[in-house]
Parts: sequence; structure tokens; C-alpha cells
Amino acid sequence: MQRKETTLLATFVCAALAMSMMIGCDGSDDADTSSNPGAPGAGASTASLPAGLFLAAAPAEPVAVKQLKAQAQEGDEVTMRVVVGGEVSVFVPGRAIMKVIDTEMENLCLKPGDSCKTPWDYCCATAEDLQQHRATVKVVDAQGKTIRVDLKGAGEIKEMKTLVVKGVVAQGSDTKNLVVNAQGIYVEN
Amino acid sequence: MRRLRFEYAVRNLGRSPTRLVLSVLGSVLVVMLVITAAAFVRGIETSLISSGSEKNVMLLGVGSEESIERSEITPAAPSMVTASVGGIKTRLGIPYVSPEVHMAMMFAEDAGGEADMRAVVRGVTPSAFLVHDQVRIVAGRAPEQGKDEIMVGQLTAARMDLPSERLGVGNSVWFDNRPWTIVGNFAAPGTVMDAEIWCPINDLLIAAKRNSYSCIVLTLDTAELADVEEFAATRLDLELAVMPEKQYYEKLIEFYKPVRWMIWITAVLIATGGMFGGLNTMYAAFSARFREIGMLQSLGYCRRAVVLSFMQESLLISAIGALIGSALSLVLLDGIAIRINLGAFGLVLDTATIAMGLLAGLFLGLFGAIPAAVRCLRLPIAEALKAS
Repeated sequence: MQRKETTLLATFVCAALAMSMMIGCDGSDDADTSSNPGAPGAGASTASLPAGLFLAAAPAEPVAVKQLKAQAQEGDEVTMRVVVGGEVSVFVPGRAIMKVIDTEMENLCLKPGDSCKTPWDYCCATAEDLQQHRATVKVVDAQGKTIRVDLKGAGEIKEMKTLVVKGVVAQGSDTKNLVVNAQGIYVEN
Repeated sequence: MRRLRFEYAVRNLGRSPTRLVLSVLGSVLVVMLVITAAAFVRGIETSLISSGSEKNVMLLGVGSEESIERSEITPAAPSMVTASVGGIKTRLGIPYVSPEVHMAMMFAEDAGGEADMRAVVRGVTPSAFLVHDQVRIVAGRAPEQGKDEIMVGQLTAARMDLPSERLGVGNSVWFDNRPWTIVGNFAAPGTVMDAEIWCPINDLLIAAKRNSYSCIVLTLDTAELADVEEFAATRLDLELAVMPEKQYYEKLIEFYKPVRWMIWITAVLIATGGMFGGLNTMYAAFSARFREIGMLQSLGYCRRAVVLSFMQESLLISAIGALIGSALSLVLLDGIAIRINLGAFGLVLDTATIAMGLLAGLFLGLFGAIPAAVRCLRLPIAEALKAS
């Protein structure tokens, strides 16, 4: 009796499993979604930032980003006082590069009563204002390539920090787009 | 414990064929309801997950990372990114860089018809076939620029609530006050593209009176995501946001999370209703058997043995129902197109969905007989034997 009972129940279980297996043999529903294409990791070098990049004193006579955009030429030595921000995502993981915005630009997200969770993105500013006051700072190696290391956290750099950056205007910069290859960075606060 | 023979439970099934059929039907309904809900959720997830490719990266307008249709980028951006980022995949010198325009448009069936058929139109260049390798032309050819030609996906007809033959090669649909000839049908199974209409990007820009692209999709070869992000960071004037294509669609899955929860809650409520209906049928099937239970007890079978026999009977009924329900679901539901804002997707009946249905059936079987058995066993044997 026990054997018959077991056989019948086993038949049902097998039928159920067979049906499940039959449907599930496509093998296409287990795509790995965890990896990002080209995510920094194995390919990223362990290069570090140049010694002396972080300065103990602020370089003198910083110039406004807006003014630099209008006047500076590729290769010019410039100094600017900026805030780390201008967009929600200001750092590139695995690259010594960050987006900055001029300290002259008022951050309306910091006004009392504003509950903005990412005040460094200057989301309350107009696109035109942002365009005029934003710049990019990167740290390059001897070959002029961006160093493959996170800038966030280095020298206490993070969103909303005020920096004084001294460097050279990078190739490709123009009146709309200012990229500075940093040679010295002073972290103010 | 002296147990009742299994044959006893089996033979009992045939005592009332009507009751058996009703009980099995109840189980079939519960199983099909659970499978439908699971297939819906799996379908929407699968179509979004499969839409993104591991090596593809999207460049969108800053601030439009969650809606490609709102995104705007300058038409100069594709050539800039191609020139600036080394390590993009190429084939015979053609870079895998696909500028695209995504728009939800309203179509009419004919000249005088009302434009009430909504579909997502993707303006593409030939590079789109390189970066979206899931797309295969199954009939006709790709549309050519300047000829008002389009090609449609396999689920587009479902999205537009039309019979599939209506969107066959040679037919046309109307938008921008002129007919657009369908010159090809494509398949991109399990992706959102399967419910789209594709046309040459410049034709769409003209028809939509727009001068910006929605996004650029590119395929990485030796380049890393950080290389593309670096390009975007050094070209702030272009206002580009970079994200892996998979991440974009994963965000959409998040967006549909409340919908999924709503479906699950609705399904659970309906299934609970069905379950109670099933339980009620089981209850009716077992609760009238006072005398039989009294007799069994008087023959020396303990209460546990009687409950066990009832459960065997109930399990058999629900197992039959579960198998029939699963088989019917497979035949009737698999691949059925469901319309959503994003386009359309097919119900997916895979291992997980079928297993859920079978489990629901087993649950009904395991617990269906207990309330009736408890009621019957409450009566003293003498009273049970006298019960009518």
C-alpha cells in the first residue's frame, strides 16, 4: 500500500517538475545584471596622484571661471576658486577628474528652507548661468592622459568643498568649455 | 497509527463526478490566476532586462536620465564622442555609435482616420542594427531615408491594438498628415524594441519638427565606461549624462515597481477569493461525510488517519487541477502581448511562474480539506453515525 501511494505521489511531483523544467529550459532568463560595461576595476591602474598636488596654502589671485572662459587660451596658466559641484554626479570613478563651479555663482539650493538633498548640483540655477560658471578639473600624467584614480576622497575633496585650483588650460578648451589640468589644488574647507 | 489505504482516497474521487469536476475547476482557476499574475510580472521584468546590452553605454541629456523621451542632445554629439573616445567597437571601420530619437507618436489607420493609435517610434541610422544586436529583420527590409518608410516590431500591432496582419509589409499607417509605408518587420524578442516602430532618424526629426537627438547608444570594445564618462565631463557644454544601457532599463524596472506590487496585491486578492472558493468546494465535498467518518472511527481508524486520508483526496483533486491549470496557462497565456506605456511585452511562462502556480495548487490541496475534516471530527462517534 505504502509503495503504491508513494509511486502515485512521486508521479505527480515528477509531472509537475517535468512541466517546470520543460518550460524553463530556455536558459535565457538568468542574465547577469550586476556588471557594468567597462567598470573600473581590473583594467584600472593603481596610479596615484602626483606628490605636491595638494597645496598647503591657497594660490594667489584666482580668476572667475566666466572670465577665464572668455579670455584664457590653451596652455595658459590659470588659477580659479571653485566649488566641487554643478551636477549631481561630479566625479568619474577611476579617473582623476571632477566638475566644478565658480564660487561667484550663488547656490540657491543652500537658501534657508530649501530641502535639496544634492545641493552641490546647483539645480536651482538656470542652464545659462551654469554654462557660464562651470569648468572641469583633471589631473594628468606626463603623457597628458587623465590619471586612473578616484579624485573623490583624495585630499579630502568631495562635493561642496571649496578649492583653489592652479593649472594649465587643457587642449580643446574654448569659450563654452573650460578644462584645467591641475598642477596644484588647495582645499579650503 | 493505523492508516487508511490510499486507494480509499482515490476511489472516493469518483463517488460524485460533479463534485470532483467542480473541485478540480476551482483548483484550475486558482492556479491560472496565480500563473497569470506571475507571468505578467516576469514578462515586464524580462522585457526590460533583455532590452539593455552588457557592453552598451547610453549618453542622454543631463536631467533626463529617467526618461529617454524627454532627453535632448545636440546632433553634433555622436561625431564628437566617436572622435574623442578610443576603444569603441567597430565593424569594417564603422563605429558602433547609434544616435537615436525616441518619441511616442499618435498614428491613424488611414487619411481620414483619427490619430488614436499610440506607439513608440525610434529614429535610427544603420548603426542601430550594430548596437542592438537583438533586432532581426524577419520580413522585408530596413526603411530608407526620404521615402516615408518605416519598419515595425512583432508586438507593435498589439501595442496599437491592431491585428498583426494590418502591419504587414506593404501596408501603411498615417502620421504627420501623410502615409508611411511599412517596408519591413523586425523581431527583438523579449525587449521593449519589439513593440516599436523604427524609421530613419532624419525623417523622424523632420516629421516631429525637432532638431535634437534623444540619445546615443554605443558599444564598448577596449574602452571603459569611465572613458565615456570622462568625455562627458570634459564636454560640459554638451550636457551629457552617461549610464550603462542595462542600468537605464533597471531604473525603469524600479519605476514599474509600484505597478508590480499592485499586480501582485490584486493577484493575491483574486487568488485568495479563488482559494476560498476552492476551500468552500472542498468543504462542501467533505463536510457532508459525518457518517462515513463516524464509521471509519468506529472501525478503529484514529482521527489523524481520517484527516490524512481527506488530505490525500484533497491533494489529488488540487494536483489534477494544478496540472490542468498549468497546461491551460501554457497553451492560452504564453506570449500574449500586454500593452504598457513603454510599448508592449509578452507574458512569460517560465519555470518560476509555473512553479508558483503548482505551489498554489498544492497549498489549496494541503489545507483545503482541513476545515471540513475538523468539523466532521468534532462530533462524537455515536452522533456522527446517526447524522443524516
